[in-house]
Amino acid sequence: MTGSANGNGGVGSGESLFAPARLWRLLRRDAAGMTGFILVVAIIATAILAPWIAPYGPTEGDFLNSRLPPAWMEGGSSAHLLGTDQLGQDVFSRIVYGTRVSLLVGGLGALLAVSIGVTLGLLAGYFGGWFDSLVTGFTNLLLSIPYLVLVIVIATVLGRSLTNVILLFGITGSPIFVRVTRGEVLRLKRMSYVEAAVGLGASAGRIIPMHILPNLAGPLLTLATFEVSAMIFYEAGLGFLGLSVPPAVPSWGNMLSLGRQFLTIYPWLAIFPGVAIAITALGINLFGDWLRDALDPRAQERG
Amino acid sequence: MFRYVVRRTLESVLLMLGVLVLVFFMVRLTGDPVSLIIPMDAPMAQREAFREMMGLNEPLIVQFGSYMLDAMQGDLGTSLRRRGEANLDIIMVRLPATMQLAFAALAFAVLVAVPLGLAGGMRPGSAIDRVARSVGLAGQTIPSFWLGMLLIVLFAVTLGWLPSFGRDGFSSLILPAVALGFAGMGQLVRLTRSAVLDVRRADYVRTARAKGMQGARVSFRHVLPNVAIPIVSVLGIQFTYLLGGSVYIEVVFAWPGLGSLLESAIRDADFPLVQAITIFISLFAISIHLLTDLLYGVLDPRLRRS
Repeated sequence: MTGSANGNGGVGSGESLFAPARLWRLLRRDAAGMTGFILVVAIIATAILAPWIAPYGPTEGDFLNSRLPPAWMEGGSSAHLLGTDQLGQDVFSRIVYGTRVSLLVGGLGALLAVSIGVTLGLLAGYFGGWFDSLVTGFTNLLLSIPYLVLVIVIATVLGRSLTNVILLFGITGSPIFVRVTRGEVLRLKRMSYVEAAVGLGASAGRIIPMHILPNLAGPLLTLATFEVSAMIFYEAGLGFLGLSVPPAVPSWGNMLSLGRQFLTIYPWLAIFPGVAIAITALGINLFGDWLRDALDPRAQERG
Repeated sequence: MFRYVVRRTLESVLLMLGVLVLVFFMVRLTGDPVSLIIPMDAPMAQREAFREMMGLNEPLIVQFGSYMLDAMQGDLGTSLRRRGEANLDIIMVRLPATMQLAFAALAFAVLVAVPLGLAGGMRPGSAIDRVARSVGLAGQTIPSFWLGMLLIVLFAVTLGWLPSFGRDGFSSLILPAVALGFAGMGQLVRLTRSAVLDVRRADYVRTARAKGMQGARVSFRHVLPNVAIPIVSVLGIQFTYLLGGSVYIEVVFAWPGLGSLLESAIRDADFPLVQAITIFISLFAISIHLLTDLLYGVLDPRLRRS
């Protein structure tokens, strides 16, 4: 029954697993999934519309009003909702612009990781042999080094730039996609419809896109969604240690790094960027949980 | 069983050799280590002297050979900033603090997560189950180092109950252990809960209930022992993750362990020390994985045959 997720092979409902109408119907019935979806859309909109949402530029310093607490606290100003940092930069505006860095790193990093991982996993799983041994060995090797340490060391060597950070997460994030893809390919290769296609003389160039990839789409999309959230976490962690994008760039990690220095005197500098990270991770995880169920062919009868 | 032990041990040794190779080339392929350590405007003679001292004049293959030989004899080089001090000695001084923190974090995670996941899984949809699911979600959405800072603001700055930094007795261990263990706790709650949901539908649990066995007894006699296997199997992975996560937490709480050592080595551009710490933590993690796999083999006889 997991035979084919492409075309109209859906079980029970007769429509594709990815049909927008089906997904929308499922989403409307799932309060948690819907919450996640709305949060994710709002966060993406914030990143795109940052210049219109943020009342100030991200590096616009108002020295006369530096170190202001949030508006509702004593000494706060309604001109700076979440207060200002030691350079008089508006915390709310920097958080709004920081959405861009986080989504770029999470989105492009996950996209790169999927591209590398799926390509290597497909080739390794489908053709086997020495290439498979090489890819599997290297994957196990990368996964055996504690991830946070691996990322810190590579970030140190690469230096601080947005491109480097995206490359770093794209490469170090790929082993998990290699592993999942390779495992699925090995399973699918034994399915009778794939064996039949091979028997009828279909080439790898036809079997992989027609029979293998469509069945991988669901699990990979779910995994990639969670990976976006994980990479946003790791980027913030690197920024916190001063190893991510250059210090002047408004990113949540850089803001937390600054917040740590002033933690006991101006705690709001550390609190609000973390709230932004938590809300983003909450949205992506709620949406991802829903997506996992929605794209699981075995659960499709429920649709 | 013997063959399983031999195979897993050989695999681990291969991985360890791989880590040594990878770390060497990761550091070398990225350019001239000299320019990363000695300022660009330093006199040429100084740069050359440094190159000579570090053995960077030798062909790469010779450097690699002596590095591998040294590493296999337990020599991870000497620190750059602390002249003459062996990296391994520096690491060993810091290791107990990190181990203490990681074990405390793991204990916190297990002691909260297992009872909570068990209670939630036995009564899906109940109030305690909603708590379990919220804790599981919170573990995925709250970054540990941010949680650490929140705990400092609340318990150290505002309430003044616990110290905010350093390693001085049990009270200084509480906040960093909670912050470090939080994410793992979330994962363990989810895992325990879903394992319980699977097990409670199993025939032997239904039979126990049919015989009239009551709630708590069913949990302890039939559910918990079967849930223990997946939990033990992720503890090794959890521990590795804690070792990595401790870098951030040790920085937040100024905890004098391997993590804050790595951070300061990076800040000082002490490359040999960074390399040595990376190797040490990785080999340590591989050993932990091997141990948990062997333990897992003891707990679950089905695994040895596959």
